[in-house]
Amino acid sequence: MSAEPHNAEEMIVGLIARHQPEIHRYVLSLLPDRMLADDVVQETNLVLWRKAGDYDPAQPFLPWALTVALYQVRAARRDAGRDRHVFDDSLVDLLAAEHGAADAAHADLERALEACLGELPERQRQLILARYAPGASVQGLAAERRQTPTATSLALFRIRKALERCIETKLALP
Amino acid sequence: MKDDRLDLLIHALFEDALGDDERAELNRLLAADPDARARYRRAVAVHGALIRRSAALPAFVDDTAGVPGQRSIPWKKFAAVALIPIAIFGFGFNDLMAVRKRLPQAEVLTLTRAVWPEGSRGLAPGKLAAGTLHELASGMVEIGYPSGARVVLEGPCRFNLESKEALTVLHGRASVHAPDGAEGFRIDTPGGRFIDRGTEFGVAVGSDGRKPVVLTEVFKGEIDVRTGSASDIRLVRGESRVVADNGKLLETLDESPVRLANALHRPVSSAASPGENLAFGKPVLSPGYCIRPHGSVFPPDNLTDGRLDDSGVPGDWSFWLAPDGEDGEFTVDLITPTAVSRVSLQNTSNRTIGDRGTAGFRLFGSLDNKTFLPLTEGTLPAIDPADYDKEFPFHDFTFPAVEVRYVKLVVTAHLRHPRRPADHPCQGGGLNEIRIFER
Repeated sequence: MSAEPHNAEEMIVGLIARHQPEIHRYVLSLLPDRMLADDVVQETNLVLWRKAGDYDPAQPFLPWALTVALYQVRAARRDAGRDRHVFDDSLVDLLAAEHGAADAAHADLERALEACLGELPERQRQLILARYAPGASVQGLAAERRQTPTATSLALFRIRKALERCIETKLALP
Repeated sequence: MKDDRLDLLIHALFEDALGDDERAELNRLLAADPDARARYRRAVAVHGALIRRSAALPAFVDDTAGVPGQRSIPWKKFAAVALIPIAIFGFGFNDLMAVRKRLPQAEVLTLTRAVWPEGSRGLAPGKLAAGTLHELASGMVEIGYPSGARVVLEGPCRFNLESKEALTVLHGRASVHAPDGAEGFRIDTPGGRFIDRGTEFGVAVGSDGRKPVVLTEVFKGEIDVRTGSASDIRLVRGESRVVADNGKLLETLDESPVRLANALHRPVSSAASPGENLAFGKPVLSPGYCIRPHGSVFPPDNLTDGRLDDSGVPGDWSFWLAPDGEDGEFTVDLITPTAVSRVSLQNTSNRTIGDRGTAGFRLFGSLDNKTFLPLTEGTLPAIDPADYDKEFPFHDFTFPAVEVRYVKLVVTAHLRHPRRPADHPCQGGGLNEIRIFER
């Protein structure tokens, strides 16, 4: 069986699929609106795929992909209207410029997340995963747990911080 | 403590609970401190990983493969090609889902008397394939989006779902309803982009023969219009524009503000008449017809095309208009001698402008297109402005059965705008449709 992609289009699709986490993370960091970020990632995928012929395989894929993504972020901010802007233009530019190799190199992030989720107490693990389930809300989770929304939100805050610390530790290991 | 405050603001951001003051504070903290930005990036990395992990969204299913006569399907192709590297490089299922979950999602909600061109499989209620050019010959298609946005497309129409919360209309009419939360939904056309800001609006995408001409009207709320030449133009309820002449925004079409029917609330015309309409699709001859700028052309074939109610788009309107200032006449060729005894006529308002139409007429029949005998005569009321968003009425006229091949209608009195001078050039005869019946 051949192990080589047959053409530029096949190669680009492979690269897009492989780098989805990095593209999504980058877009979300600049555009912290989940729906908008999803749209932008999708638009970015389309543009990358259409421009498959422009990609020079001798060059690293990710910087090129993130440049395309940044254009899509700017277009989305232009389209979405100011009320959906969280960050000012200058801050978006700053965050984009600083998004460097250290951010992109977190290829093991997802694996570290799994390990850290496994280390959480079961109730905390269930709560944070339930929060990210489609359609979930703090109010809904609070009602299920017979808590106030404030208490649930505070619990989520602490779990997020615990996960961040845990992942940071694991990624720092050799 | 400052660090805790930053963490709390980031947490509020992820929970969509950031107020205006907190948003400004978060901007200040991040802009001022590289360490704060690094911490934000670490937090958003974990947040993003949790979002991706929860990606249990249903995958888009392309169920229209193999439709003949349609151009290549980028996203279908994308999805198909995406399977290859998975097989070759051993990508996991989650990788595929990560790509596929972001594919455009929209759904065909309803079809109303939808007719598709010959050779086309058409659409059925359910998922709408992305990246496929669809052509609707007549009738209506209603498309729904995850945000709650709805689009009603009126045939004839060519359209393409390019991306989520957007639709490309290459030709034809579309009416959009975007509820709260669907702001930003957009219609892309060859003439420009129309971005919803929480509203109902319509577009009619046509051409002047060389360049695109697009009409838009805001029924409720606001939209932004982007033509590429300047900054966005915001239109509010009741405002309308014509995009023509390489992106210029004009306030009038044919000397009057443009008005579009809101298809979200108007059903497809069901004004059928018993018996076979012998005139449908038959050729129509006329000594002349109205030709004005920006695709305002109204040839006589429109009289027998089955399209009603002043529908259509620039360059492809549904009705006939006589030349400026003339009553006008036209002749329907039934191709073969046929016994006829009734005609049914639908008047025009010239796109709600109310400056043209038929007030009085005489009808003649002939076997050889030389010698005509009178069949009947009558009058037609103007379209009531209260009915502009409804189906226009048909008026029947009967006469003793006679065998004819040619049916000629001569306008004897035309309508004109009630507030314009009597010699204003924009007046003349006109008609939406003629139907001819044996009985």
